[in-house]
Amino acid sequence: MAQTILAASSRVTISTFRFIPASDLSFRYEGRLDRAMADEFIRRLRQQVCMQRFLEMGPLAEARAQNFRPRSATSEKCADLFVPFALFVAQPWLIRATPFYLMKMVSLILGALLIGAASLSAVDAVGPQSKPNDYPLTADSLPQPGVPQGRLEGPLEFHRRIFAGTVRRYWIFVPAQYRAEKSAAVCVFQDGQRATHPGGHSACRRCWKT
Amino acid sequence: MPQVLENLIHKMEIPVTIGLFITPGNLSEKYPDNLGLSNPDHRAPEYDALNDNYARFLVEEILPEVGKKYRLTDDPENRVIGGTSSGAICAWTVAWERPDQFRKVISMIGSYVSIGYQRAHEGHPMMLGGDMYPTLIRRHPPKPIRIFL
Repeated sequence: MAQTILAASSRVTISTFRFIPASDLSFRYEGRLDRAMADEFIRRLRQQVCMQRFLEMGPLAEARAQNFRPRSATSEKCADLFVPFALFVAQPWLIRATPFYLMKMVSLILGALLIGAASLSAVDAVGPQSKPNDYPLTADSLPQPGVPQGRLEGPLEFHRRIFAGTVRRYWIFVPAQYRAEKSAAVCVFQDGQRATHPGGHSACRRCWKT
Repeated sequence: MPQVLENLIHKMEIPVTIGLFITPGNLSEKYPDNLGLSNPDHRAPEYDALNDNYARFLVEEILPEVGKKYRLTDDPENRVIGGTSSGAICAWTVAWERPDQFRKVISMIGSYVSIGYQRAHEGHPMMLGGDMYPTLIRRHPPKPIRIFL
């Protein structure tokens, strides 16, 4: 993912996306870049890189010290080299003087058109079939003739120590094909009271909180 | 869910699978009969917390209980955990904390947001929210987990 730095005609703005390795930064610059803007540009980039390091290292180091993996020397270097590099590439005379600039503009426009076309076709593909709150069950969710029926045990109640003071219910689904000699695969599913409901979650939309 | 398992097992698209469907906890001696399909009161502390409590509850408490009655595989590749909404981030957190136990995750409209975040306060360290997962995942070496999102 790229971080885009957009320069309006009067000032440099940086759209932020917090958790990106500095080495993944890329930018686009349009318009004139004078000395004051260049200074602002550098200031904000430095702020950005510092903020990013702070966000990535501070809370994580605190919370997960034992699993924490420090930044590699390479990515440190990328971050430090990025500011001079960005400034170098952002020189308008340099950008305009090279065929690279033209190629970049053409590829930007083509890219935008492609993305637009793709999103339009995606909307077309989904649009007519899907209505709000309309989630029809498919064959796999409905009883099928000839399929041996398993059994659902429960609700059973469960008290233990990890979540002290709580009680919960659970159900065990035992497929007809289960044999005690052979260990079975396991599927654990949360919100068991709804997951075992034959109408599925869509049957109890009103009970949703989070 | 049981119906889907039944059909997919018959079509041999999944192995013979025991399903375990668990409600969140409720802070009471007995599970209230009038809750019906709605949420018990201890759902958020169990599902939205970025810690290994729920994983330990599964691995140390309820799976051994079910294992007394049914023979369950201990191969993490054949153990899937799933959920919806906060149940989905809960499922992911279990696999994230214990990939030695669960390596497959079904995550539907997962709440990968900061519901579980808590500021540090007296005697309690800060608790991360699920919005931190993009960073956590990037910072860790890859884990052997497959997730259906």
